[in-house]
Amino acid sequence: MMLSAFETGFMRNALAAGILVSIACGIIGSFVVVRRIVFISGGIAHAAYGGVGLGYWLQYAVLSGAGAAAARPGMWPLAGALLFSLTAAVVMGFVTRRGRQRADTVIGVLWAIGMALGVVFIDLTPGYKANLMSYLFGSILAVSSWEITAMAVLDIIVLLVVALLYRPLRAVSFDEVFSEVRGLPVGALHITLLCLVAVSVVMMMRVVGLIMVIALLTIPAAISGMFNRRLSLMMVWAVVLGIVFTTAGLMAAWQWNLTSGAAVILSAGVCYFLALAWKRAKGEAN
Amino acid sequence: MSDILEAIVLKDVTAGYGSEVVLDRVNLTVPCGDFLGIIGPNGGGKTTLLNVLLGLVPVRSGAVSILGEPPSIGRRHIGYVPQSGGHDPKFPVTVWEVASMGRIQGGKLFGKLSVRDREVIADSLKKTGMLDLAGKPMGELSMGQRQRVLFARALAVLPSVLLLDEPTASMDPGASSSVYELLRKLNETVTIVMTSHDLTAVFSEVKTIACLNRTLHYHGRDKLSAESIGKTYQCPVDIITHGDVPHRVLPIHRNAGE
Repeated sequence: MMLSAFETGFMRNALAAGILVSIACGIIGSFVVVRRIVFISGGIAHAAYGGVGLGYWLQYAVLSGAGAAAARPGMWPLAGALLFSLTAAVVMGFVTRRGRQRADTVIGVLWAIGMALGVVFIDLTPGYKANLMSYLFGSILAVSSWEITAMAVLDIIVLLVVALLYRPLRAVSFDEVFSEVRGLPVGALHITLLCLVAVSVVMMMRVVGLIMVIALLTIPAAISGMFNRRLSLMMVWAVVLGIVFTTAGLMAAWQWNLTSGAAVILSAGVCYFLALAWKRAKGEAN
Repeated sequence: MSDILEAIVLKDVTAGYGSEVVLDRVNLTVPCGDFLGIIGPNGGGKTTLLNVLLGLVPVRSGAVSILGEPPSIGRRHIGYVPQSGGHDPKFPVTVWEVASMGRIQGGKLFGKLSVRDREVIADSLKKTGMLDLAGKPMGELSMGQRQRVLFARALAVLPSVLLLDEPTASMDPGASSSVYELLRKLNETVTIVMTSHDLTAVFSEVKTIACLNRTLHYHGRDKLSAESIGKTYQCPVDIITHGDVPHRVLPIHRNAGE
């Protein structure tokens, strides 16, 4: 009975989306965890909602809600989210350089302004808005074929950038001062990493929603980090865990008619605490 | 670098953070081949001085040169060993990977490690006695071992100048004496500048001593007077001990009377 679920087109899309998102998520999430930029990543994710609202409004204002928008529903909000999350990443990158004081306040403010902008843009857009909830809480079962393609393209971008800059990114994450003395462009690398977070966040938006993005970004990497003592291995296992969690959540959502994003996060969260408990039992307080 | 005789020159350097002046008109010349120990109280500006040399803290006035170049360029010749304990012990990285960071060069952002790079890294780990543990995660090492890895990373730079910030702060006496042995050997080819709280070690190991407390109170090759130590620490000091190993002979301590 479970197997027959995957024979349907939307279920196949959902599975593919889970796998594609887990790749970016495991790789970038590992950097987020070891670099301790969870809060900044949360800010980027929430600021992206402003772009969802803007895209939604533009779609209505420019295209009058018809024509091209109907062909690829969700394209404008996705583009808007990408624009907002990248902008937030660059701004936060500058603010958090060199441990400037009160950087966390600025992040918190951008976080809230982004969300508020999204709400206002949606207020300005007339019509039926129920599907906007899917941007906040995810709807992996509604992922369409063109979105799968978009995710694949974003994955390739993330993989390429990390493959090219792996050693400098790792060095900067481990020791920013030494990296700067060696002449690395520490600020540019910091902003590059945050832009990669922004891209990953937009991909994950469809699967778990912007509010829960931060959990999927950090939990697989955090669990993997408990058992791996090399960054590259931590990434590989974070990807595997991400795939396990999204698939498990998807099945639970299908079986019991739950919100898919919440099911994914809960499966990840339960495993996180199991892993913590197991580490504790072995006497390695983490 | 054979035509440059001064490894480090500071002329009237004033530097600080915000409205606070930490270094006040500091003049210092470190000739190539020197082994300089900088002592002084906490907050006296030792770390700020290192940061100025590394081009991390800009000077308000005065001039700094590293082998004839400004710090932002000259620092490529510097092997920097920070105080241990500044890194996240859970960071997933191995001994070899940390040492390999010494081979990073700003201009070669995308490059992979060359065969030559690997030789240099292995050699640096060997010199610091960490080659056997190359595959170990940093998190599984003792504090002293971690410090040795940071040392190896600095050596992998193939530096002309080594800058060390409290290199033996986290080590037991045995480990620190082996570090000084290594430093003495390296000093045959490399200029060394280190800060330290450990006055005994500084006196017995270094060639030159500087006392820093906002200004540079003493700098030279001769024996240190109780008076200049007193000026630096703002109180009489009697930490200098004498053991089996011959130390510098110091005058009997008398009240510096500040």
